[in-house]
Amino acid sequence: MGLAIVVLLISLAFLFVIQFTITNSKEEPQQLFARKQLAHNTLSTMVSTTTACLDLTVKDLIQDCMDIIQEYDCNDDGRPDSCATAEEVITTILDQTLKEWQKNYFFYIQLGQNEEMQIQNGECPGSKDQGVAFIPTRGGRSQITATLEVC
Amino acid sequence: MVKRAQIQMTETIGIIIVFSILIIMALLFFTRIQTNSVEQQRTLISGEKAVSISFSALFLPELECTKAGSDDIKDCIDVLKADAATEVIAANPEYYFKLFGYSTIVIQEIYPTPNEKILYERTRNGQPPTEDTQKARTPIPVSLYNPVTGTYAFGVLTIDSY
Repeated sequence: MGLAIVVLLISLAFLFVIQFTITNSKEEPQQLFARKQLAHNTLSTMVSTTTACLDLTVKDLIQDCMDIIQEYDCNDDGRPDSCATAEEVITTILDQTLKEWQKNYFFYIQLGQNEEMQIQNGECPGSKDQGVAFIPTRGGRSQITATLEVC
Repeated sequence: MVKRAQIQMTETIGIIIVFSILIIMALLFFTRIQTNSVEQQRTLISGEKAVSISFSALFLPELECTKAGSDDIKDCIDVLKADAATEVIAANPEYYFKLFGYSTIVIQEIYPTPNEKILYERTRNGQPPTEDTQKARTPIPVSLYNPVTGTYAFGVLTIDSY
């Protein structure tokens, strides 16, 4: 009888601890706000950023990169390099922000249905917030979609 | 008869010991909860304040981009205005304390030229914040517009609410 009461008390204590742990892990309003706006803000700010390459924005570089004939030569070596420059700038920005804040992310650019560029930091198996930017191609024939998923 | 009584006695002592351990554990647990909940309450309030300060700072006329047609760029800070705002804020501490309370607001340029500027700082103890100072941090990516060159840098507006 005594032992049964002890077992019952231990079970109750465990239930209480579990309940407290679950309640405790709830996200605070400020964390929720920061997480929800992070992916969208980071992406929209990033595409409008002016780069060191001919004062072009990241959006201009992505547009040129996705074109059939590329024009911009950022390092003056006679060969267009908008794709490499765009990737370098995006990686720098994401490394200095999301990676620095220990957030995993997955950035990719699609031209129509085809995935053309991918930059990733860690795995993203659980829930994630997504920011999407639509950029028209120079000729207007197709649409470029830049997506940033923050885990 | 004596042996049976001894067994029952041992069982009773055992139960008392286990029961005492349980009570001690429960007391320790409740003390910790109590301490944590006070700290959590404070962090929660700081967090809510951080969100409200974020909005105040983002839409502050002293910082907002005013370039014609710039309304397509959201979350934009004019760097020249920010330079002037730092001086205005320092000259009118009481007015801005009503807006920002106990917090630190930092504008940080990430790309192309990493640098940072403290726009506003006020802690509860009047001392500069340390790593151990309890705070709720809200980082917001923003465009830093330079009206002279017409360029946009990638920046982060960080709000630490105490």
